[in-house]
Amino acid sequence: MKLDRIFGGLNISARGLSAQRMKMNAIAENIANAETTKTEKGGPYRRKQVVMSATDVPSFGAELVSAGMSLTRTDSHHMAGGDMEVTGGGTAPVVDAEAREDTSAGKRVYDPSHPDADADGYVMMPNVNVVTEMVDMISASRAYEANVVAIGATKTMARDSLEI
Amino acid sequence: MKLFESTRIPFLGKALDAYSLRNRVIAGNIANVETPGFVAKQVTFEEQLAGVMNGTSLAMAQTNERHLGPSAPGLPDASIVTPSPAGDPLASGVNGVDIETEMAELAKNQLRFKYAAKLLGEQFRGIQKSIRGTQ
Repeated sequence: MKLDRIFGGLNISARGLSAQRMKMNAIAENIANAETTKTEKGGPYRRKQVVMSATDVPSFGAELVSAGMSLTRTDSHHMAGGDMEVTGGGTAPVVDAEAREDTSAGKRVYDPSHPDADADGYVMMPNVNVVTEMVDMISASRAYEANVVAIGATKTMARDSLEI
Repeated sequence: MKLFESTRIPFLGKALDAYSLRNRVIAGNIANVETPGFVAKQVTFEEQLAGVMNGTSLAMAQTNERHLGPSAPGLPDASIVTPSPAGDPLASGVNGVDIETEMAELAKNQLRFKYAAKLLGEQFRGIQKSIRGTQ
């Protein structure tokens, strides 16, 4: 067993943790700015949304091939290097998180005394729904916990293998 | 040296490799629980091992002495499969990763690893005892 395999599991879970933390930060920002009607860019605050995607970590062999390295047969007794599978990689896709702005329109509220009210007395409010944010927060927090448990399992396995 | 090959050590080594691979795959599934469109992966090992032990699996024959032998004769390697999503396609809300199943698999896998590691340790201790004599 290779050590990088054990740490591979830890790294995958750590990426999951940081993705969920990024989501939590975006949610906190959204809730804090749920009433912000003026931003630096002008207009009301726009909700931040964290989108996750899975990326396959290429295997070492695939990395070599993509870097332009290949094996040449200089003798008929050589084995073909076509499917050279050197080590590790290419197993579990790693999660990537990216923050995007939700461009949907917010509510238009009638409040003529508000300093940001337009000529008709309407204020553009941020497109943040606090209830949605709370639900997202619970799911992010649970997903974070699941990743913590996975890290615990990987650590226990690493410790067990040291006790052989 | 056939000292280790007559024991269960090669089997247990393969099993530990398989469980460590499965741990990584489950960690990946859990990390991607909120990734839209992600399909959970699985590791098959027990079926292949059972196939080899029942003699139903394909074996490699050496028909020429220049042939390379398989790395560990007769023992299968664990492999990752991506099954077509069988259960609820939206189990986690955005994809088919069922977090309960994954957590249960993680716990099971952890126990299997511990079991195999203990057994392996006992195998080595047994060999050591037989070398030292009954002290």
